[in-house]
Amino acid sequence: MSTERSAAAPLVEVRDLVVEYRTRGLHGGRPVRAVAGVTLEIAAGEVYALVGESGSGKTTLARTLLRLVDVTSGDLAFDGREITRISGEELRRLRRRMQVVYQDPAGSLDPRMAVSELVAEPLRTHERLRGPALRSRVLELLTDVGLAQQHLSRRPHELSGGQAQRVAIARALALRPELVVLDEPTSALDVSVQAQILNLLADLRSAHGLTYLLISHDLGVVRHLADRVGVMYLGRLVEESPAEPLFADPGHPYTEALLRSAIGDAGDGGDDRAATPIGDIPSPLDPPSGCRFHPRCWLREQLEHPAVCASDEPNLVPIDRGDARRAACHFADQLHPSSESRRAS
Amino acid sequence: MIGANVEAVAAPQELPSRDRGRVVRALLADPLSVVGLVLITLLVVAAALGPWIAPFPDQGAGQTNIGEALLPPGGEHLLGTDRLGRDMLSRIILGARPALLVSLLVVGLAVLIGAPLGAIAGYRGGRLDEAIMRLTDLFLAFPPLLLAMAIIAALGPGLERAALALAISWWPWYARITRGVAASLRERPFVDAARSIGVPERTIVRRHILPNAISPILVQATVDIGTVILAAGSLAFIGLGARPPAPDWGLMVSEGRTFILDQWWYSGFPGLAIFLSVLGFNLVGDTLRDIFDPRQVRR
Repeated sequence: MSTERSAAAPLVEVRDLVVEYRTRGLHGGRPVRAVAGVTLEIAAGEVYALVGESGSGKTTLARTLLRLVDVTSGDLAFDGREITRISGEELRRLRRRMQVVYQDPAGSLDPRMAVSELVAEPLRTHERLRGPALRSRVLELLTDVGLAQQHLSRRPHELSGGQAQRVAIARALALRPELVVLDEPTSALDVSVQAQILNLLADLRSAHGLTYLLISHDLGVVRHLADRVGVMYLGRLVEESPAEPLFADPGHPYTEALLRSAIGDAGDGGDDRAATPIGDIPSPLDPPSGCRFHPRCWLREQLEHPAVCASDEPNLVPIDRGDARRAACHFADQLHPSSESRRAS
Repeated sequence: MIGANVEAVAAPQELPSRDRGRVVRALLADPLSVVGLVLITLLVVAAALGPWIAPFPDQGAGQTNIGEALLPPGGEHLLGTDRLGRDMLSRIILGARPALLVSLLVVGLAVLIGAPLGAIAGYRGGRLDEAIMRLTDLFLAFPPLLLAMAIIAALGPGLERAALALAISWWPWYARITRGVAASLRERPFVDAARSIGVPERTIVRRHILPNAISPILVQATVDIGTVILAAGSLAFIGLGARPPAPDWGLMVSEGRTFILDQWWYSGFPGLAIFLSVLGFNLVGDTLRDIFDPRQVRR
């Protein structure tokens, strides 16, 4: 895995990004902060995963980076260039450098187009390829993603979920992008197909030197693919860490809770001050004061409700558990260090 | 798994339109739409082969035969003759072609104007959407026939002008239908995907929005072909459409109205031709609507 950090500028820079949606009616037109001040960098060649429950703002962040959603405040840069407010032809040129694979493979393909047209679309749009040159490039792309000539004339509803996702990947790769956003790329697929697609994505990454921004709530997928992980909660980044140490030893009570609920607490049963979030995720319309996680935080319970949790919002700061790890918790150092009972697998 | 849900939701969205076989089977399975299909077929055959199947093609086209004026149905003239002795059956058969052509022209023009405007409005949203929709409201505020009459009053009477006038008063319906579909298509992931690839807006509307909006447009167009035959007939009836001696159904009803008490067939049969044409397209249109949009229950 290419985890080497070059001194060069990162491929993607996100600074103090805020994205607000206007709601209508019921909430009296108050804006909802889907992303509430996020700063992160993605190095060329790495796989950066954003994890979090639905409503955490991870998809909005990615869509904003792709410039499908407007930035409310903050800055975005791609390959050292400001892209926050570019438009028109400039934006179209940027589009070919960053592509996206969606969660719902069948839904992201026009039901009336044949596979050949779907894969040809980006090539027609940006490279003005026509005729035999176009045809052979389409076929080459399909081969790359493990499909064959006989799929050319199929329409999306004649494809299995896995095949449709392969077509979507071929479309995304057609323009040889540098960044590919993978928005829950396997969560709509059968379990048996998920692994195939993940392997395909890993192969394509090393073959084409791609950078991935992976969005997922499936920690198994993240573990399989990611070099670095950012954990989002209610529009904020609450932890950021290289993947391995994060899974071994989470630096934020929310991360710990996510890992616990993913594993299902089945294994050891030991320490049952259940590190699971209490209740449901609060509405982003009305985020809690102080630390956004405090009403659901098991660590706060254990520490008998320190006042600072509800009054001050913690910053994302380095924690002393190894390199390049940051967490936004007032009591990150009180999270019990990795014990032998956890995550033997 | 979540996956299962997503696919279950996505599946019924899949447009059945590619499935021509299924559409044909559904049309043939419903007795009412079979009646409609038969009526439309008769109309199309009459329009295509009129001069060859009419018993008196010359009279149908206008040649008079005063000696046999106003004969009742029967004998040589199955549906009787008009006041100039022309065979009614031939006149009605020859009237099918202009009726169908005008109707196709009007609906075609209306779709050509309305669908792209509606697609742009629905896809873009915002101010442009508001502007286009208020424009359609302006047109829809007038009853279509009244608007067409006003336009003809400005342009002068005649079949082509009547067609143009009808198209101008008809396009807003297609703009509204297409707008609704386009606004919902805009939220579909495949449109988002096209945007993120960098497909220009114009191309998205042309290649993704319009082709996927075709089914409801087709349903409306089918019903409207019948309705426009009636509207064109109405304009001819009040002297704003086809002019004599053209074999036009509306014109024939109009000519016959002075004889309505004694020579009922003069107005009656052309009226019946209009009625059956409208009925045919309505029956087929209703079934198509059921096929494409199962939520609407037929009354």
